[in-house]
Amino acid sequence: MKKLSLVAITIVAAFAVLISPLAYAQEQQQPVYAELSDAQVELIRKNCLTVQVSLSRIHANDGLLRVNLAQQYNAIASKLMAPMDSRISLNKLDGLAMATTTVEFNKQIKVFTDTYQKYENTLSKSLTMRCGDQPIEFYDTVSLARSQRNQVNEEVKELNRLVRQYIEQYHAFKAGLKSNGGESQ
Amino acid sequence: MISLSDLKEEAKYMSRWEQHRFLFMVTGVIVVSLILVAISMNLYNNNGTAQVDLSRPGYQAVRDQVSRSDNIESFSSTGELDEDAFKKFEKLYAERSDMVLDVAGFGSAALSDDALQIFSETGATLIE
Repeated sequence: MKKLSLVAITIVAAFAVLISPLAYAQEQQQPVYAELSDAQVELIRKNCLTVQVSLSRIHANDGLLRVNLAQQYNAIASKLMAPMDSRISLNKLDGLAMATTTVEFNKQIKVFTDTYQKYENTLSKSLTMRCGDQPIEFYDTVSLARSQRNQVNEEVKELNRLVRQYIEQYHAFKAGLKSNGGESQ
Repeated sequence: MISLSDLKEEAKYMSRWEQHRFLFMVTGVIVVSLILVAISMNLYNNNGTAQVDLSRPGYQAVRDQVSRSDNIESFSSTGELDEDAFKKFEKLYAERSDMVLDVAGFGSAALSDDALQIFSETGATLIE
């Protein structure tokens, strides 16, 4: 009997773990219903299937862009920034500013992937909705995806700012090293 | 040799659990496998793996355009910081940074009402 209770508790706990992130995600992504006229609702209903095909193309292209961008950002962080910071440190030189940017850059990659995940979930939801039956919900989901896409764009801009900042700090480091009498030992 | 009547006689003294244990085992195995599949699907969708999985339906058209990361040259983390090292780093960094800085990002214009023609009275046309 005790064993059965243990199994039952494990199953309930597993379901609770399973359901909680979904409930949280749904809570986070509740769209704010837009005020639309009857004529606009009718137009959404009429155009929504074509709009969904366009959205699926955007979805595919964005997926590709996200994979390629993340690959390049990870390569910059792990194959260029981190080895350079390590080399500066091994040569007993001061590269604190560059190392700080590397840490910030790695954190920003995580923010970018998390923001993209939210956007992708919303866009996927808009693709699977029965838009003819739920035109207002469909429009609100697209609106939410639009604002989340804009947020992803901001995260990409921030990553690019850090890429530029790192190379500026690198040039300042190099200039400082030369003015202090040459290169490392 | 055990006959059918012996088995029937024996079953009379068995509890319900003992009589249907094979059925319970099969049901249990199916339930456990369903739970494990649900947990793994949940992890797949919520930890970001789904977003980098271009083998999913809908990505066929772009799958072959993924850039390969295994041929990206790495800067060595050991050695002196001399002019050769600086030149090598600058070359590698310029190559990588050009690939991200020149890319058009995720502007919200692509999802605007006008771009999607969501309120078009003549009917929306597909975005190429």
